[in-house]
Formats: sequence, structure tokens, C-alpha cells
Amino acid sequence: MKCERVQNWLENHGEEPLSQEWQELLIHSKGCFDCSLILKNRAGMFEAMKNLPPPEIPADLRQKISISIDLVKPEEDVDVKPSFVDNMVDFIIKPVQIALSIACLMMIVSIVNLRESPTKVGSPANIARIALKKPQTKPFKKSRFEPEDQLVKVTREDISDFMKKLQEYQRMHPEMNVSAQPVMPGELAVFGQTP
Amino acid sequence: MVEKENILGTFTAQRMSEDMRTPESEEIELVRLARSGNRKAFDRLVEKYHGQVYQLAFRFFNNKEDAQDATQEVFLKVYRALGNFEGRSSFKTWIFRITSNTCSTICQEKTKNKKTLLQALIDWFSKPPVQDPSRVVTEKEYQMELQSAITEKISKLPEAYRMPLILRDIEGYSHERICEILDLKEGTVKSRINRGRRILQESLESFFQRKESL
Repeated sequence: MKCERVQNWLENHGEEPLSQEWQELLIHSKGCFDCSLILKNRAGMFEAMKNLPPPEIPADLRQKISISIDLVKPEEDVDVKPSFVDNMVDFIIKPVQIALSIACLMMIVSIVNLRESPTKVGSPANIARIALKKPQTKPFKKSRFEPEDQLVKVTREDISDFMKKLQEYQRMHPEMNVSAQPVMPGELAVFGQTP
Repeated sequence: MVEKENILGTFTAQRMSEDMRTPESEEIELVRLARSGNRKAFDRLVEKYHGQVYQLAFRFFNNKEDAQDATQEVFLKVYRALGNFEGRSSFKTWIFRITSNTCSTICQEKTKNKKTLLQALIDWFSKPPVQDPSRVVTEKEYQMELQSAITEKISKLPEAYRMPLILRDIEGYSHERICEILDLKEGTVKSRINRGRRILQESLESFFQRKESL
């Protein structure tokens, strides 16, 4: 059975400051072949890692990095400062953008209001309100053919003139003379009269 | 504009060597210029960090092609995300975090794509021949073989343990820095390092036995 006291301690406390426990382990490892070998090998491993030769850097590495950065698309090049022309175009376009945005916003609001209005009318509260509302009666304009409030004075001449015109009309249009045609009893009933 | 050109002119004139550290203020200025779209400033940052990023990626994959791909991907991400860099951590920590995440992503994608039969055959034939344990080797040869084995075994470690172990035992960063880079709690980082070390040590058992026989 291999002793792993030192190995286990190193795994759990290897990066902590040396303690009394470590001193005890050192004393133990002096008499323990497995633990002393582990300590020896660990030291050899550290020594080898410390002296690892640095890898040879490829000569064309910088050039390759430079090429790969050159291949970055211009739109990804976010850190580049905008030119004078860009600033000018931006200066002109910005107010237009703001105006368009406001117009769009107003249009959306009005569309939303239009869509919402039927539902508002249809709500029970609104229906009740409309039903209770008194009908508004607007005063009609007087027609120019309507008679004036004041009575017009008619003379005998006017009446005789009118009667003459009426007789002339009846003579010219005998079919319009109602009193001359025979009337059936049913027809008179329509007008609420009995023969 | 003139001020920027003067700063760049100063940097171009100095052209410091790879291992010479740029003062922090200069790096902040470079990052600021790169953020504003200055390509030369970005190239200076690439020049400064591409070696370190490549080294980290190479330790992770133990493969030149994958390390190169990862390095290119890292700088592409840095270029795109430079505008989001807030400076809460250092630029180096930020770039190392991107490297760690990129390596993990590539590793996960590779494990998803199952190997074809042809690829498996090619890999099998391209593996170095197993050394005869009875072969007599010198101490120097043994050290080289051990280092080569460690590099290979690290790249075979479970992904979760790989980057913490590399950053701690090879790159030599502190726990706090590793926590910052990997965006993990200190306890998690420590346990991953310890567990990774144990797995690595157990996988190198045969090499240590050879050492005993020397």
C-alpha cells in the first residue's frame, strides 16, 4: 500500500503558507520512502517547469495579425472617428430624423384613438349616456317661400282674378276636376268621410 | 492631430526592444490612442504583447498552428473590444483574460469535432517513438526529455486545470493576478493549481522512475 499523506496534503493545502502540519509531514517523509519520493519528484517537476525554454515565436506572426485586422470590415471598425463630411451629414439629417419620428408617433397615436373609439361608444356606460341625452333640436331656417308672419291683405279683385285663373285651369285640365268624377264609397272611407 | 503625430513620432523614434518594459503611463497613452482609432498605436501594442500571448497559447496547446490561430484571434478580439476596455484592470491582465478565454473556446471546439479515422492515423504515426527505459541518458538529456514531457502533459491536462497551472508554475504570477486574469475566486484557483499539479506529477511517474535508475 502506497503512502499518500504528503500527496494528499499537497493537493489540499499546497498553495497555503507552511504550517505546523507541514513540519510534521516533513518529519514523517524522512522515514517514509513513498512520501520522500513524492516530495523529491515534485521538486524536480517544479525545477523543470521553471526552466522551460520559451517557444520560438514565428517570424510572420505579427504580419498575420496585421492582415487579419486589415480584413476587419469597415462597419465593424467602430472606434474610427467620423470625418467632417460625416459630421455635416449627421448635422443635417438629425433634425429630419427627429421630425419624422414625431410625425410617426403622432400618426400611431391617432390610429390607436380611431381604433379605440367604437369600443368606447359600445360600452354600457356610454350607451346609457347617449340614451339619456336630450335630442338637440336646431332651429330651422325660414324658407324664402314660407309666408311671412304678417297676414297679407287680399282684395276682391285678387280673389276674382284667382277664381278666373282656376276656372281657366279646370277648363284646360278636365281630368284634374275631382268633384266631376264619380267617387266610390270605399274610396271616401280612406279619407275618413262617409258618403 | 499634431499632438498625436508627435506622440507617435516619439514612440517610433524610441523603438524599444521586446524585453524592455514600457512605462505604465506610455502604455495608457498607447491604449488611449488605439481606442481613438490610431492604428500605429495598436500596432505598438501588438508588438509589445504578441510574444507573451503566443507563449501562453503555445503552453496551452503545445501546437504551433493552434497557438498562432489563438494569437490572431486574441488580437482581433482586442481590436474589436478596445472601445469597451474600461481600464479597471491593467491592459496586460485584460489581454491575458482574452487569451485564456480564447484558448478555452478553441479547445472546446476541437473536442467537439471528433477526429476522423485519417486524422487519428496521422496523429498516431506522427507521435515520437517511446524511449527505451534501459537506454543510458545523461543528466542534461534527461532534463530535456522531462521538459518536453511536461510541455506535452500540460497540454493534455483537463482544460480547467491547464491555465491556472501555466500561469502559476511557468509564468510565475501571484494568486491575486491569476484570480484577476481568470475571473475566479482565490479558493478555486488554488484548488485547481493543486489538483493540476497532482495529475501532472502522476502522469510523469515513468520519467521519475528512469531518473531513479540513472
